[in-house]
Amino acid sequence: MSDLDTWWRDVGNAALLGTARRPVPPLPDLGRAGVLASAEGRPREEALLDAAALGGAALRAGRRLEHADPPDAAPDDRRPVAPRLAVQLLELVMTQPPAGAAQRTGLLVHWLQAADDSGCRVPHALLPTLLALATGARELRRPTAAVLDERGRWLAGLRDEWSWVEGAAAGAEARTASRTEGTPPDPDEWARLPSPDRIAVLAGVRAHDPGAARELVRLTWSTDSARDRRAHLEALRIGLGPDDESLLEVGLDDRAGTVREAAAELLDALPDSARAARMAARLRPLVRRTGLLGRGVEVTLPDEPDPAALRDGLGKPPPRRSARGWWLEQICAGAPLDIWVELAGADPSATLKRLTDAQATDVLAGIRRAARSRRDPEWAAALLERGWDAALVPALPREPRERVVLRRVDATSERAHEIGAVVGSVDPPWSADFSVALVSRLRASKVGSTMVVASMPHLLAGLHPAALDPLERWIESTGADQILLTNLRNLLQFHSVKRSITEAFR
Amino acid sequence: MTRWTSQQVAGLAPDASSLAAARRLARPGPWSDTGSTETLLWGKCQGSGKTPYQVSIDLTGPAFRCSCPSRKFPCKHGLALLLLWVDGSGSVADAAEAAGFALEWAAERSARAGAKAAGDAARPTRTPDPVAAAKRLEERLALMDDGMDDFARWLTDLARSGTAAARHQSYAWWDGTAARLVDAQLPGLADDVRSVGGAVSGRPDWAERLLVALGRWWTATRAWSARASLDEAQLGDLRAYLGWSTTTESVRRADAVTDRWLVLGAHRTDDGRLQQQRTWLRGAATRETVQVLDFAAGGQVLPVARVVGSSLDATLARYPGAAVRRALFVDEPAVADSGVGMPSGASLEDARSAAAEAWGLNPWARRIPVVLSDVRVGVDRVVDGDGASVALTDDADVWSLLALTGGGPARLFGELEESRLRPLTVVVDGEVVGL
Repeated sequence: MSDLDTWWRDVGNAALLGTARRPVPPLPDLGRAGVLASAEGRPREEALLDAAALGGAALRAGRRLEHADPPDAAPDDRRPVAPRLAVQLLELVMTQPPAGAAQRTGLLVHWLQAADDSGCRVPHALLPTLLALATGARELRRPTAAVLDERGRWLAGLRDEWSWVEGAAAGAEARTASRTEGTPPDPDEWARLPSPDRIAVLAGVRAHDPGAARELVRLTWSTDSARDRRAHLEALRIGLGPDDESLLEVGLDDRAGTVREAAAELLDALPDSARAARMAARLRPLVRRTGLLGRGVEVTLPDEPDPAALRDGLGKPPPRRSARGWWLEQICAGAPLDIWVELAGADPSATLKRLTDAQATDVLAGIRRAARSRRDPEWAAALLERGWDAALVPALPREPRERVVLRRVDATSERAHEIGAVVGSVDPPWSADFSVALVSRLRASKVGSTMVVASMPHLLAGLHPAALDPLERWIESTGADQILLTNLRNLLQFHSVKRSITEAFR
Repeated sequence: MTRWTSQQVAGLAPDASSLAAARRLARPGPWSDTGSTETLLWGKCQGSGKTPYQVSIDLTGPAFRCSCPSRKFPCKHGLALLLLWVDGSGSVADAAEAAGFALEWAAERSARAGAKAAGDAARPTRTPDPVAAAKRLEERLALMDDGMDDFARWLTDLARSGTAAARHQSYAWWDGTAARLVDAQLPGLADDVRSVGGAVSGRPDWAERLLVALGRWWTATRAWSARASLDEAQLGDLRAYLGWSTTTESVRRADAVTDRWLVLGAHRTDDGRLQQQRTWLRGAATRETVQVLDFAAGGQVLPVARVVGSSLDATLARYPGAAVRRALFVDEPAVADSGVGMPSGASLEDARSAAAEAWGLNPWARRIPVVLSDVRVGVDRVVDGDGASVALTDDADVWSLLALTGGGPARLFGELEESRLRPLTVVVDGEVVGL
């Protein structure tokens, strides 16, 4: 400690207690600085204030710089920055969401995925804002992590609040590769991937190469947890086919009930499988034609299942269901639908009409499930004739599907709040014709405003750009309904910005 | 004229929402009759109303005019037009002749400037009554003398009873002292007392801060009683600290210098009551760095920020002072060049000694402008090539800095305040970015 440091410390102590109790330390020799000590006989307090002034000046001007190791620099980025126009759109969406704050996340996800698909990264200047937004909205995290590149990951590593990036970025590459090119990760990487990323990778690979995805599931089947095994089976729903049967049969013998259930449910969707044939064999003795002309159909409840039936899913019923009724439903859901034509001797529509006895509810529930999981258009159409069921709509081919839904939209004008479920039954993105027809129906409806509000999420996700012009004309002509106007404007903005984003990455 | 960068346009926005609104408008759709010459940029923007808004921009100021009713300045239309022009995709074409409404406005402007110049020239003839002025000055000095004596007594009392006792005083005690200083027409000193008084109870390093503040206040009382021996520059710095303002008219008359000024950086603060904008400028010939201060209170709007990294041809009048001088624009500056970058910087050690020298000349200077070269930014400090390091101020936008520099060496402009640095501008890949 130098003389000056000691002196300054003593000055500090004297100041704390006050000069009434402490003397002021004499100034050390400052050599060339040529500072003169306070004159003899000056009041103590003035000497202290002089010392404070001097010390303050010395402290400010004379403080030595600290030394520190230079901080670690970020590695070089590997991707090119997003195109300029796209960057402007990102800034716009982040700072002033064009379709209202509620729609910001949707647009951001679209931007981030478009950037990832074209192999771009976020410009450095926008990283802090994007990271802050994704910290607040979980659904942004994975798409964000995919386009941060080295600089962004490095930056996130410096701040505790952004520590989620490390986890989200780990599987980002594998996810991107599987989504854009269907490339499966190598076995080691697959084994190390966190569960949510595996699901995303499976979905990606499955869309391109179902066999490769199935191999991934097999690869770690023996070591995966029951929860993962179930989730992986669920992922096979994409592109499900006869080749998956053997793995699903393995699933039927799984030690975990949840996995067995998932396997059985997937096998329901394969009418040519061995399990479907076993179910058909169980169903045949239960169905009998009645009446003189054989136009009635009577179904009896099945008996206690044998071990083989138990394995096929005729297990414990859900709460408040009769066990035998449940088994009947399971059998009907698993058996090929064609068997009804054989057993009832009529087409689907007529068969359904003949099912009127006490067991009809369970049988219909099973047939419904079968039609849904197999996307059987004929049976779905026949069932829909009898009553609306949004879950059956996707089984129809595009044209009848959209026709059925539009008809339902007309019929729903009394119960406008149900419209969401109705239009939601058509997978986004919608066709141009359907989008335009839907907009014109909403516009013509007396309760169009309520309907728009109720179906907003689906309109945002599904509407085809071809509907934007009619939408704009609707906005121009609409009157004082502010809620409707705001919603329509948001809708229009959302889609036009979304389209601009897509174009900006081209 | 070379078109600007969108970064520079962003720097002109009065707030983030105006900029965002402008970005939405910066597409060809709503615009018609656009064009630009060397000095003017104009266009019509279709808003919600029937007639489109007429937007004219004088690129040399920059100055804006828009027929919209917005109270923001510049409004989103002006910013959007600039963005569209910067974009360079051909939506704003170069023209030989400006559109009628833009020309009219430009003519009005130059006429006004001429009239103002004439008015300024005419004004000195209306000299106020010198006798009355002298009497007012005498009264003020007497008031300040009494206030300073009172303050010196308060300081010696505090020294006698100790800072530990002072720490236990309520804020009202500090505020009372500050109020007496305000009454004695020493508002600058009063602000300092309030801010130190407010920080004393909460900070772990309060003892040294208070001690240093006591030294500073004591120096002020001693300097005031010895003011007859101070030269004009020293007195100017002391006046600025005490809050005895110098009229802009007397500044204008005194020490004007014409130069090409590079906009080094700017900082805005808003304490809810008063908005302040500090712009640092460096003269190409004089090599002096000065600060221009703008204030806005209540519903007022701060003037448009200068584009960081651009050069202005302007005459600046400097307030009396020895170092880190304040200045004001004598007339509206003309943009000479919109993208020269930053001057080469110094090491931290050199910057520190330059700061020490400046503080030697002007002990009241709160912050010293420095340009640093090849410094690496860490989460709470910067480190230069020699391994010397200085901590960042709490309000530094460290995440933007880190994102932009990636921990690599960069040139920075900032303010040294006490022993910390507030970065205001960073140069990345040759691009000047205001923080």
